[in-house]
Amino acid sequence: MDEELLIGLLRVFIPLSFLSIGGGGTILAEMAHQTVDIHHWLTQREFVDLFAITRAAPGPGMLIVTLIGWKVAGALGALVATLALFVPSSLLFCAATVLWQRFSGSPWRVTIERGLAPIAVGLIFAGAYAVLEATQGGLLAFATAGVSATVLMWRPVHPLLLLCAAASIYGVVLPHF
Amino acid sequence: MEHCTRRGAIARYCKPAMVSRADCTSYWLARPSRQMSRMTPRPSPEPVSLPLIALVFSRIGVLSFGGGLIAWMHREAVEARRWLNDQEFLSGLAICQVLPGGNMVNMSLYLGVRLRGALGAMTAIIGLVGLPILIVIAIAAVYAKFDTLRSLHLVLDGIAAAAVGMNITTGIKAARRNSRALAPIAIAGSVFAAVGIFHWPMLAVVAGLAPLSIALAWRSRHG
Repeated sequence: MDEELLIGLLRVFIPLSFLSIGGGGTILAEMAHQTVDIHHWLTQREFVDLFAITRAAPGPGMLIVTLIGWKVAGALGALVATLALFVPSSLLFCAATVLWQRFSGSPWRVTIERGLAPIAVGLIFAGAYAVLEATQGGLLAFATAGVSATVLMWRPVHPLLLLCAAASIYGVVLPHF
Repeated sequence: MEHCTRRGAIARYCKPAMVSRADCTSYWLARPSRQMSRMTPRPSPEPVSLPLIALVFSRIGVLSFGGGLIAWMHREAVEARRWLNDQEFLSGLAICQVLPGGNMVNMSLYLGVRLRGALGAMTAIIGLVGLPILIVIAIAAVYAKFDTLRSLHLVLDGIAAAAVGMNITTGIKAARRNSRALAPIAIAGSVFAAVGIFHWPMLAVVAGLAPLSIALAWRSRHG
């Protein structure tokens, strides 16, 4: 039974690893579909909870697989699910990076780097926008992010201080409205 | 005073293997200095020790909540340690975002491979996710008992929103250092609008705009 569950985790997360083009966010919908609707490993509500935790906790958001694995088959499940999602894409990525380094100094590489830079800038802003959209804060979330960005641009404040400030404002002030 | 920090920065870069335990403790608490990157010329590449890679990436992993990881990585790798320059960082980021795998994870592999090859990549990735995995499991256990508290959700939302500010800062800094020509700005704006606002599939957007952007970069260089 346990073995079946572990193999099930592998069969769900290894393909998802190769599909996670552009980061963990792209496979979230498919992950929810597989784990909630098809395999019934957890409920919709539990999936959202686990997602929120990995967003608020340190580390990559993709660590949601660790929690799903834990829920399905304990510590071994957490290990198997994590490796299944992280290892395949990592091997592929390392191979691509080694290839990339072989062309260091070539004018083509420089051009490609210069061409990809604005794409990355656009994606950074798109990612920021996506997170703000996902929180329930609405305009307030956008304002908080704007203030935080302004402070960081203006003064070398430790970002953790800003996070704590925002956490206390949201936690202490907002519940009274 | 400033002179001292500058010399400390150079020493830290050049002799990463000499990190003592006391240094580790103060390093863990210190924040990457911004001055050094502007003043220190890039030293000749010298192998960075694996313990230092593990230390830096555990710090990035542990401190990176709320999605601010790219900002943390930029601070550590580019601004504080000068392991690579802005353009290399951004091109790495672009590769990370078009290949499968989490952006943070791929970016750690990218830096790890550059610093110490396959072993560096493994060290970086274990450093990045090791502690967070334990923390996430611990929080999940605690959260299960308090998940009905409304203020808890508010606190999490606040942290996420403030952390996004860090990403915005990274984006602004990167955009500033890019070419000021109209084309890159237009490309960056289109990517943001298409992926962020209109939710078009990212792969299609990048597949469409990346060749155009590279062609424009080639023309501005050779035409």
